[in-house]
Amino acid sequence: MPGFFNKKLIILLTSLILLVALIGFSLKERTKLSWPEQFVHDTVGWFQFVFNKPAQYAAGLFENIEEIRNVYKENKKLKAELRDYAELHAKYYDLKSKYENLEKQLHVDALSASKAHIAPVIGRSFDQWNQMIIVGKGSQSGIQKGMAVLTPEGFIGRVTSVSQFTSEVTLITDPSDNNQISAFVVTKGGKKYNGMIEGYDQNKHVLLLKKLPIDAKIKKGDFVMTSRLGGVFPDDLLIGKVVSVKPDPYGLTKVCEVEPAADFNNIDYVDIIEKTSLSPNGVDTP
Amino acid sequence: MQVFSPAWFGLHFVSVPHFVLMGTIMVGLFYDRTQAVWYGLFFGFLIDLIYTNVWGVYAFCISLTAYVLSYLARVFHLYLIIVFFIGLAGVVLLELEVYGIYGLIGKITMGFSDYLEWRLMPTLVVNGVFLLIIFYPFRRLLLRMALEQTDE
Repeated sequence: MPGFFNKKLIILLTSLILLVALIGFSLKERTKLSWPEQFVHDTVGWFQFVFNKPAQYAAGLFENIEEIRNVYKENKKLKAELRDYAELHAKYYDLKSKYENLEKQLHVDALSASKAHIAPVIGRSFDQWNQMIIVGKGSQSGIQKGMAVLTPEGFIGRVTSVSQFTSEVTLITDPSDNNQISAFVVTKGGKKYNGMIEGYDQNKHVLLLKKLPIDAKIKKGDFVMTSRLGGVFPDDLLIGKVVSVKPDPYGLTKVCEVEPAADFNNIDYVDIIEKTSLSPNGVDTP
Repeated sequence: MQVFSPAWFGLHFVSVPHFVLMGTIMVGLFYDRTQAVWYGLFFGFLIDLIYTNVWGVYAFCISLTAYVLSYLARVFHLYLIIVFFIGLAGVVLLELEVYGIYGLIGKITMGFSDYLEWRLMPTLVVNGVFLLIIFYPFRRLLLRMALEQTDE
């Protein structure tokens, strides 16, 4: 019996050492996935894609039932919003054409242009500790690590690893540390304040926008968007609305709680934004 | 992609499926302990590769849980109700192990009491229902495989 007991203990201890080594290896910042990883991701991704269709169909049935319950109330609300929308639409086109005219007259090229790839969501992490989704487009379609990902409602995250035919997108609700986004608040009066989004509170379901100037006059309901000043994302992607404002513990800056505009419980298709901005020399830099 | 999400009805609880663990526990109980560990390592590693950024966590935890629980086959007659509770115990063990390891490497931001309130119950319900559904067909398959092995 003593010999038998020792063998199992040795196996357990060896596997613990292997576990620690594996965790350490995988936690490193890896820029590109190795080809076996890409192969596994793409193979599983293919199966996920196949199962996605009937699953979406079944989910659609549930959603339709839910929607039928709310049809009357929603209709009234939408009609009211539509009246404002037509006017906003007209103003937007007017401003856009004026802006483009000015750009041409000053011979200034677009500060940041972008191209959108639409990708279906074929998988999602199932536990709470990793918030990420798997989308059905990869490097073969031009997706690269670091691109911004949106739904029609707003910004949801960035691409963190790319295989040939699938990619992984880490959502902004993920509790990992290196999830910082350069953003600005635009008040109803038109003033812009720059800050950094540095984290997500999982209990209150809000993002934390920090490093705002202490004298910023920000009110609840102001919009928060991405800023191209960070050099990572294109400009003006809607992140959410301010829910509360208060000074930070040291009293030097202001901290906002931002409610994300996107609905994280219902992500079917995403837009992956490829930044095609021009450098000062007018040469394309991807 | 969310086929069914309780959040659609305005509820904030999280229900985590651990169907691979349920299958591996059944393999460990009805078939062979070592095979269960190999299955746990393989499928757990696949889960780690696809769904998480940290490798080895689910591989280690699923195989360890299946291995430990497979000893209960000597103690109990494996009726549905008993395997049901063993399965639930397995889910609790797995959640604790994963929570522990992620806590050590700094991935956890949620406190343990919140965790118990919002996550444990729905998780147990979903995994319990799955175990009830697969119990009879999967047990028949495993017992037939065990019989074929002893006939060789």
